[in-house]
Amino acid sequence: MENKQSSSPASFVDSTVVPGDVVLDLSSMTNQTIKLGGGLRQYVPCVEDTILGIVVDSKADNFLIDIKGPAMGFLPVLAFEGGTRRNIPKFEVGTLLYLRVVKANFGMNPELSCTDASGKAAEFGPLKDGYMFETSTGLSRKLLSSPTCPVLEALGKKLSFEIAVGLNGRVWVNAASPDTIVVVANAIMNSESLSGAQQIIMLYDLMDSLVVVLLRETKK
Amino acid sequence: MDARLANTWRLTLNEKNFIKTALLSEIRIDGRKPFEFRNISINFGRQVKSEDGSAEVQLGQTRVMGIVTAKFVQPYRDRPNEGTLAIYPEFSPMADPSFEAGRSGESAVELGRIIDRGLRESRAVDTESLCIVAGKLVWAIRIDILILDNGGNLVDAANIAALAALMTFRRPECSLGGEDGQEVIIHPPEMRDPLPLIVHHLPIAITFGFFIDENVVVIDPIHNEEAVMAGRMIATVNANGDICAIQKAGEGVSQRVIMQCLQLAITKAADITKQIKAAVEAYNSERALQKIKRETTCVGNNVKGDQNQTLDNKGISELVGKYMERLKLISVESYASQNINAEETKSLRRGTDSSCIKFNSTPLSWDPYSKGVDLEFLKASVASQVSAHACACNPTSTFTIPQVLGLVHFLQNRNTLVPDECLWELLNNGFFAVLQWILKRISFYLNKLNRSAYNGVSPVEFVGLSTASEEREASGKEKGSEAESAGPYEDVNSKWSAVDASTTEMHVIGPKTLKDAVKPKNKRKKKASSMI
Repeated sequence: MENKQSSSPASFVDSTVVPGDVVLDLSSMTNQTIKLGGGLRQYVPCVEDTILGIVVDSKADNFLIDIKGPAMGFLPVLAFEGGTRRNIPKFEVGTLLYLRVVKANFGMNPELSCTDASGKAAEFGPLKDGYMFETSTGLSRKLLSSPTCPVLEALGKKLSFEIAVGLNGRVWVNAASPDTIVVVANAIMNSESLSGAQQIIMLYDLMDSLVVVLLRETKK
Repeated sequence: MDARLANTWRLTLNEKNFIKTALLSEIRIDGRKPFEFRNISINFGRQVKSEDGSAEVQLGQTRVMGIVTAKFVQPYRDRPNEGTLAIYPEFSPMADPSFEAGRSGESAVELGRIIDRGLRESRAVDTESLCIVAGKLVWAIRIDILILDNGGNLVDAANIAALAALMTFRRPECSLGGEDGQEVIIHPPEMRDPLPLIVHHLPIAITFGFFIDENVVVIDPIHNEEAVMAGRMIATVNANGDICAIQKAGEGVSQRVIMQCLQLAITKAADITKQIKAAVEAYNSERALQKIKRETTCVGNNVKGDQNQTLDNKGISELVGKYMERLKLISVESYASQNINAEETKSLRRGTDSSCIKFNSTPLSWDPYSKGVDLEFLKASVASQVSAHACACNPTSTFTIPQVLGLVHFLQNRNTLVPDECLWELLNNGFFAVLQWILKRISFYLNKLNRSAYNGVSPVEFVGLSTASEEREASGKEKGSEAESAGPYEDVNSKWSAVDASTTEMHVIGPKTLKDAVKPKNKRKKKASSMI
């Protein structure tokens, strides 16, 4: 399991650890706060995380959202910018939403929202078109880290696309042509276990075999 | 309940739409072309008796395992001389969260039915050969299909797994015996090799997915595509172009499309058949190799077991090895050792056996090459001379015969067998010289043998056994005649005494007489004096 800790010793960063490995010696860190990340496959909801959820059901007060975690998320019907009882949005089952986690306690269903802390929409809400695929939570964190992940950077230089990354291991990609979307999706999925340099090498190989895509892009 | 709800995989509308729109431009989400199969990899269980007949197939992310077992049953009444075949699919929950432990719904039953139809109806497996006693006892073949990971297109993968497992399965051989001839004896695998099943042809299942637009057809759909597709057709065909079975579900499709799909299926089936056969071949050859290894060690033990000698074969081979390296005749050695057949080896070694016993009792004072001699010096001198000559690779002039036979003698006195390979090597170089010399001897010996009761036949045997095949043929005739005249005194030690004789002869080539060969003992004494 990858442990993304701020002060982990260099030897364990970017490598898999197993029970028994001493990643961090806590005895020397009494005054510091350590934030632990979630697991690889299943997502552990944390407050202020941005995630991608799928609508499963709609109830009177909230929508049931699948967030790839231990429990379903609740999205209150009014948690939208300018949301009132009159203009409750209607989401079909299977709609993809970009959400923010408001409350997350162990044992309770996490509460979600389609607005930021100040109540503005700020890109939250349903995502139209495009393609969604699933990755590990570790990879999604990598994609959101700064400086920009090498995969995204290299892809961005050649192709133009729109991307939304959820910390729960879901990624949404949209672009003008399906080829681009397929390339981006496969590139990101393949970069799971590769280091930065390897990612770039992988990308060049991918690009070479998809020259057609680039030609189409340049034409546009 | 909530947890399970949370764990199921869901399809977003975005995905659905995207898959369909991408397919309109002939793009699939994993980058394949519409009629491209994923990579198939077939792995078998280890070549251990208990693991024959198990295969694991990976089709992209889909993993399926097929295991074949057999047992005795009573045949069906309406088919008294046919064995039975049964398929048991198992959808493990680890493959997909929607699978429950135990029978999982329609898809499992459908999968089992499709594979069963493909194998049984097309008579791919010969069931009549599975009959042991008509009407009473037949083999029942059971194929267990275990789904390990669901990445889409389980039917194709499961079919390949079943076929691969069937082709590598081995059942024990059984025969009728016993007092009344009605008992069935099952021979354990160690006694008799288990038999493979007779598989006439390989019916391969190919799955096609149809989407809303009739012209959009994909082969080998992935998990996502399966959730989106409107219609599905599974065609079981074989490489000969026969259509074994067709299963069609979902939306209606025009006849033209169906025919095109069937054509395509036959092409793909040919490819997959080749792959399966190649994998099975590799497995079988490895299996055969393992068997051969076992058997050669057995044979070796038998031969060596005869000797109660303190002969250390390793020691010999080391010694030989050293000389071989020095003489740079390594390649020829292997050739030679193959050529010399077991019989000759045995007789030669037995001979040496007895001769060594004789010689080993005490270091022979009369023998210049017994332990009293400085062996290192001898080794070095011989080796240096030999290697000098060997480098030139000149077969005719190289050794002088004294050196050759001296070496032989030396080795023999050191409680070692003179390996025929070694002899062969040395003689190869001094080949023609030796041949010439020996043939000269033969004329002498012909006379001597008539007189002597002591040393039966001699160098002719020696020649016959340890030199080239051509030589053998030439001297064989003489050997034949010699053997007769020599009588039953089949003393193989005579070979070595012949060696001695020849050695002694050589050194005293001038004053050689008939008496020399007749009574080598005397000769040796003389030689000893002359040598030392």
